[in-house]
Amino acid sequence: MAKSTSPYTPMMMQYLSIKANHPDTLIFFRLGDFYELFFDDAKIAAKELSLVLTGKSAGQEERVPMCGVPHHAYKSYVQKLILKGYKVGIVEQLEEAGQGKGLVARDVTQIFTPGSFVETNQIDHNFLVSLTSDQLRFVILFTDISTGEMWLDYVQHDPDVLYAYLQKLNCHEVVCASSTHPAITETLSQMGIYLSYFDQLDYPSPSFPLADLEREAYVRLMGYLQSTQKKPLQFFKPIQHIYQQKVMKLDGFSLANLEVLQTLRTHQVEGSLLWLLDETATAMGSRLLKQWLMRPSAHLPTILLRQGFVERCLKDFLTLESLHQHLEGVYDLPRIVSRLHFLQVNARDLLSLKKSLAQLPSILSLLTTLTTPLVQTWLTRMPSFQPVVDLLHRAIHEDPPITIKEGGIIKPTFDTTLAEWILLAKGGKASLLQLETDERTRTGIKNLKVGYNQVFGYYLEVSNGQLAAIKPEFGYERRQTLANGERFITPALKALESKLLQAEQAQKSLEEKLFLSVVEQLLAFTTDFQILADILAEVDVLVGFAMVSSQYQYVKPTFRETRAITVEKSRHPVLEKYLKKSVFVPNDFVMDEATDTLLITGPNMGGKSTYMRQIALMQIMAQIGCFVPAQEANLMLLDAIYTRIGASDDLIGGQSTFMMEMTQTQYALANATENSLLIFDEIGRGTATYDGMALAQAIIEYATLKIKAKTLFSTHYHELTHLETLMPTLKNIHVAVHEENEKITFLYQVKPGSMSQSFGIHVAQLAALPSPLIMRAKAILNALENQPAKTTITPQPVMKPSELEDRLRAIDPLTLSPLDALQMLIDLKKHQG
Amino acid sequence: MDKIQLLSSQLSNMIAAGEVIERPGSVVKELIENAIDANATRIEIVVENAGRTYIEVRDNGEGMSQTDLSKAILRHATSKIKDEYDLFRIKTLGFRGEALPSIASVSGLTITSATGQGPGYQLQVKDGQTLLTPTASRQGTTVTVTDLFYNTPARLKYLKNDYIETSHLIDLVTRIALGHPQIAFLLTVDQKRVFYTDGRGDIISVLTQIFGKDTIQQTLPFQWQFHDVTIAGFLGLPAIAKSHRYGIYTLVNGRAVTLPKINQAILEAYKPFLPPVRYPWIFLHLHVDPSLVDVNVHPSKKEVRLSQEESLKLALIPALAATLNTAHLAPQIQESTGSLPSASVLHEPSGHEDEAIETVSLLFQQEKTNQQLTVMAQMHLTYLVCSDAKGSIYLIDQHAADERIRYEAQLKLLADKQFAVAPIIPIMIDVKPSDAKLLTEARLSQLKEVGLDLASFGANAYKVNTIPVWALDQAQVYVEDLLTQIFLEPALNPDKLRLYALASKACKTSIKANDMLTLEAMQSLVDRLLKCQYPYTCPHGRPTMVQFAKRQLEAMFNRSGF
Repeated sequence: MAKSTSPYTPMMMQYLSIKANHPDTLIFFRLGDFYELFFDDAKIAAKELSLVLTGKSAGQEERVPMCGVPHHAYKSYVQKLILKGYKVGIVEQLEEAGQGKGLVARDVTQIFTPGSFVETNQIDHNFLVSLTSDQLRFVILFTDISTGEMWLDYVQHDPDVLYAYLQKLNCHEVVCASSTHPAITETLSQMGIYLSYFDQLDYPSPSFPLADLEREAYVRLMGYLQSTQKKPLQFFKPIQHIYQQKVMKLDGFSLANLEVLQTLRTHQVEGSLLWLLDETATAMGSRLLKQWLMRPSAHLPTILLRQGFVERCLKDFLTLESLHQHLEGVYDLPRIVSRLHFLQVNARDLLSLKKSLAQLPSILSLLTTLTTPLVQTWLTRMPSFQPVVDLLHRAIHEDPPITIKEGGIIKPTFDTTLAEWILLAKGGKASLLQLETDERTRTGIKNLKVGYNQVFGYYLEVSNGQLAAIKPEFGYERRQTLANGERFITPALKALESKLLQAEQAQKSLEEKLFLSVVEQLLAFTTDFQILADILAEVDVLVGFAMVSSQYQYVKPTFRETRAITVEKSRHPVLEKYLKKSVFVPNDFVMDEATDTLLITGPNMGGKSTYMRQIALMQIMAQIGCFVPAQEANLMLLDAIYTRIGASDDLIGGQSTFMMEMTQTQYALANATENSLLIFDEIGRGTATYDGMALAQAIIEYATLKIKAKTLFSTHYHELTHLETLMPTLKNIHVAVHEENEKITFLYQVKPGSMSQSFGIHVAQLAALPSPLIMRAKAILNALENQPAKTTITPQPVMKPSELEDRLRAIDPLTLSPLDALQMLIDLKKHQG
Repeated sequence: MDKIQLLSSQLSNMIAAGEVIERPGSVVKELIENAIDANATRIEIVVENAGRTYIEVRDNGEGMSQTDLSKAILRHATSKIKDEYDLFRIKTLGFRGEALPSIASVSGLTITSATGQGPGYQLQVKDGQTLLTPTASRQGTTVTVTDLFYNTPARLKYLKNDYIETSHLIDLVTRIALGHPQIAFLLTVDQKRVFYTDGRGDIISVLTQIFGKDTIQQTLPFQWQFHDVTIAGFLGLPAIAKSHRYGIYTLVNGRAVTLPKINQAILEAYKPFLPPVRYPWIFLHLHVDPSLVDVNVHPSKKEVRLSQEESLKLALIPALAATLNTAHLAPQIQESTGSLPSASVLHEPSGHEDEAIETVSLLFQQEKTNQQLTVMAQMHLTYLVCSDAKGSIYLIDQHAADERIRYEAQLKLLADKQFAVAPIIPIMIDVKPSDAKLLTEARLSQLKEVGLDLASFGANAYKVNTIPVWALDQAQVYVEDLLTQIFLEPALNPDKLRLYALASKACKTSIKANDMLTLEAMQSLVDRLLKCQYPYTCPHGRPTMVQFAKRQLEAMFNRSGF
């Protein structure tokens, strides 16, 4: 782009050398009060931000294309560019203009990338993912640099699973090696994920142990962050190893199908389980709730601790309400901590910190009254913040401006030198006032005024009528002529003014220095703040659970050791909130130890899907520690929920609905165990009748007899209902319909046994299809039903797995180190012998 | 031709409806009571347009069978009493069998009900025509009432505006919900949730859910027994007193009712603690043997009588007052009220409690003009002890009184436009940096409207060009106050701002508590106070004086003549 023949101005040369190091980044180049973009960057920005493209002469004949944004509002422009998939580098002046000799030194101080940009008031996480893999698995390390949290997980080496995982994280940027397989990177790009290749693996290894692949992901991620943030990254919390936690697995398909975080059709939060449960008062609570919903616990003691707290809260609504109110006064602490470390903090942030800490004594004393084991653990972990509160109280002005360069942020009482400067500045103004009185006496002009404006500074104003009274010996120097008067300065006035300005300048720079020293002191409390944020987030989420549970009369679920789920009068939590003018019909749900599969038949619109979803949602709610919508609920601790529900959109595109259905079924069957819940909604309807029915039966047999997972299977293939007689662990249930005078009424009631009719024609009638069409359909149905019965196929008993197979199944290759794998192989071989 | 005919059942129901169904609230009340009698544990009420267009009450109670449902709208059909014996031992809320037929006769009525066995049924009634169809079978009953009073235009015409009807309805549901903490209530009006209760049986939770924690934290628990009557409740502190009487919640055996005698007792007991024309927030639940309650007083079941009501009332007053006394209420009158409640007992009960209040406040206002008070002493350097010609004693808060006087004096000044002056000695005001940023040209000219002309004088400083004359001596404080006010309420009009400035100024410059005053100064203060247009409150709304009527004094010393 730059012609090397004739040189540019020194400033433009400086720009070009910086730009050369960041070819993929739009450079915001600080020039005075503007950030300017040049060359192609300027063209892009002008188009994307609708800015006027101008030019700057830079030593060559052609002017260099240029556009710019004012420095105080640059963030919103950066945000727009980030959303459109660009990276933005900020080049600052590293010294005050005029202080150094010649060109002001400039360099990149920060690079905003899609995975690291967080708006000021954003609540949600923005995850940056670092991806590594071997033949067997992907390692997914993801972080939110605005909260300092970091998670690590494995998934098998299946691109579809990886895409679903990243979709679930709603991640916008992936860092990976430039050698990553193009098939993967292309798909990720199509998904709208920004790919940053980073091969410089020289970031120091962490002090904590990590496997090789994990370390690679970590070093790449941290190295990349270092290169974009240009600041030390010392506030990251320890990595959370998701694969080691006992969690209920909820894959991306199921999260979407069950509408946990957003609705299927509109992708809105309203109408999702999150929407129902999010009564959180703090940003960190809201984020934690999402994390819990993505990964409900499968650790009974954890669940019981949470339940204990919710139960106790429900007994004392007054305390609950008070807790909620105090939590509302707590700001987004992790984000403040992150800004402290990036030195992007302002005095208002510190004030927010102080206000948050001020809520703490009340929150603690309220918690103390709720003596549950969980509260005990919180109270023992809770650090003391008295020194912080004292420091902030002494140092930070109660009503500070946003910038830290204007003064007015530090209390004068905090520092004696500061107090002196402030006094001097004030005294300066008083002297100016005195000068006004003096000048009136000296000149005899009664309406002489000392005034001030931004451009001229202080001046003496005399009205036109009195101008004659000014004598040369007064030393008045004309500065400005107005319609009704003239403005003057005198040497005495200027002398006073410059003294005053000096004092003000000294005050401002001292305040900035003091402010940074306060920030420095606060950094020592990083870990304490993070612990506090964690505790408050958990309190907040659980207080929210209690509030929702109170409002909808939820009950505490119990977990049994046995593989049984029995619920009395279960309701669909979200529909119940959504239905404004009708009532939700509750249903019992019985799946005892002897029942592994429920085969659900009945008409369309009869409530089959709702019934299956509500059980899944109830299990999720129970396993995050919330109460559940039922009269009584005995649940089992699930290790996973896999679903295949409805015709969902293809995630990446290019697959038929039926193919999607099969892919998701494959994933479910490959991963489910006997402690998983499988939900299949009308599998096989996307292909020919016999084709579909054959697949459906085979899937039921596989899930029921081989995996023995708890399976809910809804179908219109009534021929499948005979399986009940052949498979002891399968039971038929149906959604009831009342038929009277050729008209059907949906009862939304689930009953044992099967239903032989689907009432499809009735539904068509309800939808007001033409009546001749309906008549014809009835006739055809009659003819079909009078045909001889089809043969039924006996289920194939699945071979009982050998001990060796059992042991093989118990191995999780994703988390096995090569050495362990070898040892395992030797053991197995020995065993076989 | 014979002129006398039997009324059709539709017509006679419409006439009966006049007694039972007065307004939308009565419909809601009848329907909720039916739901409670069906052992519901959750009742949801949805109301639109004050109930004129839509009322729905859903419960999860026992529900009705198909045959019960078809009988439900027959007159005097009830499941609640069978014979005369039952009538006098009523434990259910409804019993006359008038509610549903009456409602059906004046609206579009739809009842959906299911017992949980088999399908549910839906009964639609309009203009006396009924239609029964099967429906989904969620156990419980849903009653939907549309177009209330569509066929009785006279009734429709006399409904109050939506705001009043809605408030009435919310008040009714509130009272019922309070009586049934073991039932969850959810009230939605015009798509907005008004309140819910969680049905977990804890009355404190229910009170918090309905009134909010800020109210409930300002109450004292009350437990009391008198012969066969047990009363439990919460007494609101004066801080949450209301300007109306709807903060009094009384229940008998779970039923929200009006108990005139008990209301009198409450007002009597509170009298010493509240300024005039303020009413307490109070919740009292009376548990009485049902045979001692006469509920059949009025068809709307709003009012009941208790046996031994008068003696109950007399005993209740000191009990309430004793509880109120345990709190550190306004300490200055506590000493004198020790015996006041018992004195008030001897007070002639003056008929209906509403009238009593109004008469008192009326008297008070009429006496105002020619009132003459003589100062006798200063107490705690704060209160002026005075007496009037009739022998009543008054305590006057000297600070509040002076505030009122100055405020009104300045109001007069304000009428006179020439109140702003340019200071002779220049005045400079320091402004907080954040405020300086907010001081736009628009706001500066807003301030000019009230006589404050500020000119920028360097960083965070302003020079005062003109200022109201009365603010000259405390310019800094005055400007800070005004700034706070215009930042809080940007759209403030000049008149309001001016009044605010005055009130603030009046307060800041007035005689403070703990200022020692001479007798003459005190007398002059009181005289000027009485000449004020509104002498009984300070500009911020606190009372300036408390009165002890002579008859009260006499009563305290058992000297009264009755």
